[in-house]
Amino acid sequence: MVVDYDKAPALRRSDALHERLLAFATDALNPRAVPGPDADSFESLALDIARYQFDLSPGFARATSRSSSSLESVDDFPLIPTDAFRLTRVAVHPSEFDEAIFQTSGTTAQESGFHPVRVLSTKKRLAILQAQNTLFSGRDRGVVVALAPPIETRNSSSLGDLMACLMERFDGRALSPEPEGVAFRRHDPLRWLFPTHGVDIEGLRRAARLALHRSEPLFILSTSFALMATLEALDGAPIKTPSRTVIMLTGGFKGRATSLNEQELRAAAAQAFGITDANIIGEYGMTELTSQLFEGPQKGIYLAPPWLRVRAVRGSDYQPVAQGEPGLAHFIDLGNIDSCLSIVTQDMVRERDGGIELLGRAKHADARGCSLPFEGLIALKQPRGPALSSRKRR
Amino acid sequence: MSDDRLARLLALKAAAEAIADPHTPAGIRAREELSESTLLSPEGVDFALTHCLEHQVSRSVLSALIRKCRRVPGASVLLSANVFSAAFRAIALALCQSTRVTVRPSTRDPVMTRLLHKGSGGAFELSAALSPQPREHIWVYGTEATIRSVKSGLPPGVKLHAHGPGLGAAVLVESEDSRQDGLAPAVDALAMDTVAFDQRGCLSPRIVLLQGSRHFAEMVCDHLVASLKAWEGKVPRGRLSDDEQADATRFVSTMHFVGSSVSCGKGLVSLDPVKDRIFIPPIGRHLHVTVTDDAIGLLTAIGERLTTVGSHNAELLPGRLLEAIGPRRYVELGQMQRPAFDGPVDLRSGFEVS
Repeated sequence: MVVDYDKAPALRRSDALHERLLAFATDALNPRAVPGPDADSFESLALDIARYQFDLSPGFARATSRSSSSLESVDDFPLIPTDAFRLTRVAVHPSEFDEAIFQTSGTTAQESGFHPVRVLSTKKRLAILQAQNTLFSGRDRGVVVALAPPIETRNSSSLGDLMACLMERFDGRALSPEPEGVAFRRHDPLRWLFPTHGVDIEGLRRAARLALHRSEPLFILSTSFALMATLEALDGAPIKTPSRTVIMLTGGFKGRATSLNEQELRAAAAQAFGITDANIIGEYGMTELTSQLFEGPQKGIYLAPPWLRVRAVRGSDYQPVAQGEPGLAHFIDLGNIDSCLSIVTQDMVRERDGGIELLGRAKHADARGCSLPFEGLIALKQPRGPALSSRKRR
Repeated sequence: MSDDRLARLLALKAAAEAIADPHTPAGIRAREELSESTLLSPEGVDFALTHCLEHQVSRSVLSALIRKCRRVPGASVLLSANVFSAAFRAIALALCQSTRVTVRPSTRDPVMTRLLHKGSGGAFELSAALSPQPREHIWVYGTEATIRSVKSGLPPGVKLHAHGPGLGAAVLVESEDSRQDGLAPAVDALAMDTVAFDQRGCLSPRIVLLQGSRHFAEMVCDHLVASLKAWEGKVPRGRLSDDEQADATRFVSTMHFVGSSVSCGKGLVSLDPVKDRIFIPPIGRHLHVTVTDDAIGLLTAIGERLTTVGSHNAELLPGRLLEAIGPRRYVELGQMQRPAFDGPVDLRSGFEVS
C-alpha cells in the first residue's frame, strides 16, 4: 500500500522502522554480513519501536506510564497480555491502512482477538528469511502442501498466511508434473489438504508422487490435529515420499480428544511417511505475533529468530524467573512495529539451551471460595430486555 | 430418636456468637487463625466475623426453618475453602434436617468449622470422609469438578444439594434527578459488598452494570474508586495466592492498555470503553464496569453464573430477572453479602422442604 504521508505523517516513522528491521534481519541471518558502525542492534530497534508506540498508541503509552517504565532498556518494557487483542484494537495506525486483519482462534466470535497488520510484506519477508535458515535449511525448492483448511480470499488466519507464503516462496509453481505456463495459485485446493469434510489423502499421495517425479523434497505444513486425522485416515498404510520430506508441525489440539500425545504423534508420522524424527520440525506462532519460532536441532527446543526475544516471566508480577524455571512466555517481537511489540501470553515456557521449551497453558487460579474463576470476556450485546425504571428518563 | 434439632442449632448459634465477639477466647482465636488460613487481612477477618457471620439469626427463624424441613436420618456437609463464615449457615441447614450431621471441613481452611464444632459442644460430627446412606442428604459446596466427583460416587437414594461457584452483579440506573440523590450511599454500599472476603464469595460483586449516560458512569466510577480507597485504609485487602495474583496482574495489565481503569488500594475499577460487554475480573477487589441500555439482557446472558444481583434505582429489575433467569438473591446494594436467613444462600439449587 502506498502511503500518503501528508495524510498520515506518523507512518513515515513506521516505514523507516520497517526498513531498518528488514536490514537488521537480513544482516543477522547472513554469516558473511559485516554490520556497519551505524547498524541496528536488537536493543536499538526495540527501543525505537517502543518509543514510536509510546508516542502514537494510547494503550501502550498508558501501560508504560502505569509501569513507570522509562523505555531506556528492553528489560523495562511494559508487558501487554494477549487479552488486549480481544478487547480493543491493538494498532498504532488507523484501520484504513490495514492490509490484513488476522483473527485468533476462539470457540466463539466474542472470544476471538484481532491483530491488524499494516505491512504484510514485512511479515512475509521475515517468515521467508527465517524459514530459509530453519525449516527449509538451505533447500530452495520443493513441493509444498498444507494439512490445513484452504485459506479464503480474504484470509484471516495468520497460520494460513504463513503457509501460503512458504508455498509461494519455496514452490511457486502449479502442482502439476509440467508446471510451465501454469501460474501458482495460493488458494489452489490441491495444496490445502484438510478441507472441512476430512483429509484429502489422495491429494497427499499426489503431492508425494509429484515430489518424487521432480526429485525434490516434499514439505508438509500441518497442524497437530490435522496430522493426527491424516494418520487415522491412513490407518497404518504408509505414504511413499522423498527421503528429504519435512513435516512442519504446529499447534495443539485445542481441547479436542486425541489418542496420541505429541511424541507418539511424531513417531507415528515418521513411520507413516518413512522419515526420521529429525525431519519433523515444530513451529510455534500466534496471531498476536508477527514472527514465529522453529524447533532447532535439539528436539523440543524452539529457537527464536534474531528479531524476536522470548523470556519466561512470573505470572504474579511479570518479573523474569530464574534461569531454567518455568514461566509465562514474554515476547518482544520487532515485527510488531504497528501493533504492540511487548506481549505476554498464557503459554508456559522454560528457557533452555538458547531457546525455549513449551510447557502448555498456564492454569487459572484455583477457586479458594465459591467465587467464579477469572473468565474474562463472556458476553456482548444480547436481545433487548424491558426498561428497569418506571420513571421517565431525561 | 428424640428431636433435639433446635437445641443443636442454638448451640451452633451460641458458638458463632462467641466467635463473632472479639473479646471472647473463641473470638480471639478465630481472628488469629483465620487470617492465616484465609489470606484475608486481620481487619478483613474481623469485618467478615462482625458483618457477615449470621450469628444474629433469631430462635424463631431457626424454628421456622426446622418446621419447613423434612426430617431425614442423616445429613452430610462437604465444605469448600473460605468464604469461611458460610460454614455456619451450611451446617445450620443440615441441622434443620437431621440430628445426625457429619461435616467434612475444607482441607485448606478447616478453622471455622473446627471452632464451631468445639464451641457448640459437638452439635455435629467432624469427619475426614463422608459416607451418606440412602434416604440421607448431602450438601456439597465447591467447584463444579468437586460436585461432579461427589455426585458420581453417591449411592442410590442419597439426595444431593449442590452449590457451585457463582458471582454477584450490581446494577445502578441513572436517576432523572440530576442530583442523583442516594447514589453516593449506594456506591459506598457496593464498595462494602466488594470488600467482604476480598471478593472470594459466590455473592461477591465482580461486575457492575450502569444504565445511563457516560457522565453518570464516570460519576459512579469516581465515587467507587474513592470509596474502595477509603475501605483499603479501614479494611486492607489481604494476600492473594500466587495464582490469584497472576490472574490479577493479567487483568490489571490488560485493563491499563484497554483504558479507563483506575487503581484503588490494591484493587482496580475498570470502565469498559465498549458498551454492553461483560468481562468477569479476577477476585481481589476488581470491578469491571459496563455501560448498557439493557442490563436485563446482559444479566440473562450470564444467568447461570449469577447468584446475587444488588441494585440501585432499578425497582423493576428483580421481577424482570426472576422471570428471565429464575430465583436469585435480589437485594439492595450493601446487602449482597448478608442475604436473609431463609434457606440456602444460593437459590439456584433450590431447597427441599416438606
